[in-house]
Amino acid sequence: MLLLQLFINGLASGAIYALTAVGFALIYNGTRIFHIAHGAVFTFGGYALYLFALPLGLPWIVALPAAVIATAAFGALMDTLVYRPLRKRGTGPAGMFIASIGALTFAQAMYSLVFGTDTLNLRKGGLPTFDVGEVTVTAVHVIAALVALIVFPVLQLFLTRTRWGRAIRALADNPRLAVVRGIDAERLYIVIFALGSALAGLAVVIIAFDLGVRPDMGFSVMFVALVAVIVGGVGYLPGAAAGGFLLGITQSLSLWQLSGRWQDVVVFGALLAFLVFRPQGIFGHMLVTRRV
Amino acid sequence: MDYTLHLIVLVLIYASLVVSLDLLIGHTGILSFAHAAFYGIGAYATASLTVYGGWDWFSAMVAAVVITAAIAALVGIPTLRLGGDYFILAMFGFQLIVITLILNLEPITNGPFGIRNVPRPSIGSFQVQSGFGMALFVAAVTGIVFWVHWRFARSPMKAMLHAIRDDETVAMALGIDVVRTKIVVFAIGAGFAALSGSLMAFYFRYVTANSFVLSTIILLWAMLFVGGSCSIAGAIAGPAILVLFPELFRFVGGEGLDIPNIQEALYGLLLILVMIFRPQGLAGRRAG
Repeated sequence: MLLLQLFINGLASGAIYALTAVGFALIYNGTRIFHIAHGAVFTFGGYALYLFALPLGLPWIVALPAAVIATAAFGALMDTLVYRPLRKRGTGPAGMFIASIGALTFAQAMYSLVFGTDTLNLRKGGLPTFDVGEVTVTAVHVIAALVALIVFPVLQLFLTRTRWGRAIRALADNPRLAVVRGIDAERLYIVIFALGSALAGLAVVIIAFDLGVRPDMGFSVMFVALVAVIVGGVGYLPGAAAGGFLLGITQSLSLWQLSGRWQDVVVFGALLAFLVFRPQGIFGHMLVTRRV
Repeated sequence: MDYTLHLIVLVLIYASLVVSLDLLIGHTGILSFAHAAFYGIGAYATASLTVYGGWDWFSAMVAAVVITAAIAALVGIPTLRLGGDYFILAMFGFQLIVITLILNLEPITNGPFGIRNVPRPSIGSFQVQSGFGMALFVAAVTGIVFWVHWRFARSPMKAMLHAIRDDETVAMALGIDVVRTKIVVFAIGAGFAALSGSLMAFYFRYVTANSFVLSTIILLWAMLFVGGSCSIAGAIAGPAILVLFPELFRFVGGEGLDIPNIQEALYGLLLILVMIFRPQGLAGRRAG
């Protein structure tokens, strides 16, 4: 029964990783930017929720979607302020990555300066829980699962069936050809960043509601999400989602035998194993290997 | 005066680290996100061998360099075959694993408490004791590191590494064994990082895991790119600017300010601004 409980917990944290990972993968595939500052965008959503819910006193039903929208806007702003000038200069992937590290460091330090380094709790009292047999399921578990179940199919439909979705995939596939075909790349980059960041926003409002907000909360989630992208197979969005769930569950099940301080080692041990034995990821055969 | 000397020693230790990071990133294009881990392995090996093993300082320093280079080669063999982004992530993972191991392998590392009372180096019967003597010692070792780097920058090997950095396919077509060369360079770079780690252990006489965490890497990357990669002047300018700049806060009344976070914010902002306005760094020649 302990194992089943750990599995349920892992499924919930897996949903968080999966949302963040798919957001990162969407941005990475669409813009080729190794957007490590995605972690800072994630944390921004947590503080936005805090501001909307506590000092402004908005009801949850308003504060939650507002925080997701704010996260999307922040991601788009980061593209405009940081990456767009670099694109104009013709900066390569390494330069983009360095700027992204800068943005991550800067934003994280600013959160600490403005809000302090302590955890800010968003809710008082416990969560509503449901006992199913000997397993306890919290409202957060249910919401995380529901959000993942709804968002991923909708995203897939958006990318395959709508004009904008197709334009995004065209841009990811071959930027030069897409521009020749009349796609406004700069405008689309903003859409991609907003969309990817909104996914991180969905993840963060769930986890912030549950565990509170800290300046470095995005950091560890971000890196597990990166591993999820690789484990699932770079370039294939459903793979990133599957990788997120897989890592969440693995991390949680490892608590059965190992203490919590080894969790990083479990995740990155899995990463190193994948990189050595199957660098294309679980679903890697579904696409042609691409030079990064 | 003592404090000025301390700042100079700090700049020198960081400069020696930035030189080895430049060999990897600037010259060979190996985006090593684990340089702080190798720096840490070197410092811990030195401290552990001298304090627990009773080794003399020189053997411990040599052993630290050899051990670290060997670990780097072992890690590099599977990971250096990977594409750029995968490699960054693998190095990041390695970095986290090393920190976790340092914190948990108590018999070798004394866990979260770190290792104290690392002995000062001695030459013959002369024991380096004073701050000034230590500064000279650090300056001498850093000088040797810079000299090796300068020799390298004038050798044909540089052209080979630049070929690998600029286009691996072309390098392969020219008959360069890209993966093997990268593994060798990676091990050498890690060995030099370990040497800086030894310096750090001898100077502070105390090692703790906190000195080798991610913010250290970000500081090192900021130093490298602010100073400018592929440039010996840049390898001194970057550390000098980033070590001395926060000192200005002491003069504007640092009371009640959250200095570490202000520093981090500045490092981050500097990285972005340098990439946008001067990607080759202050003294460098090559855009990032």
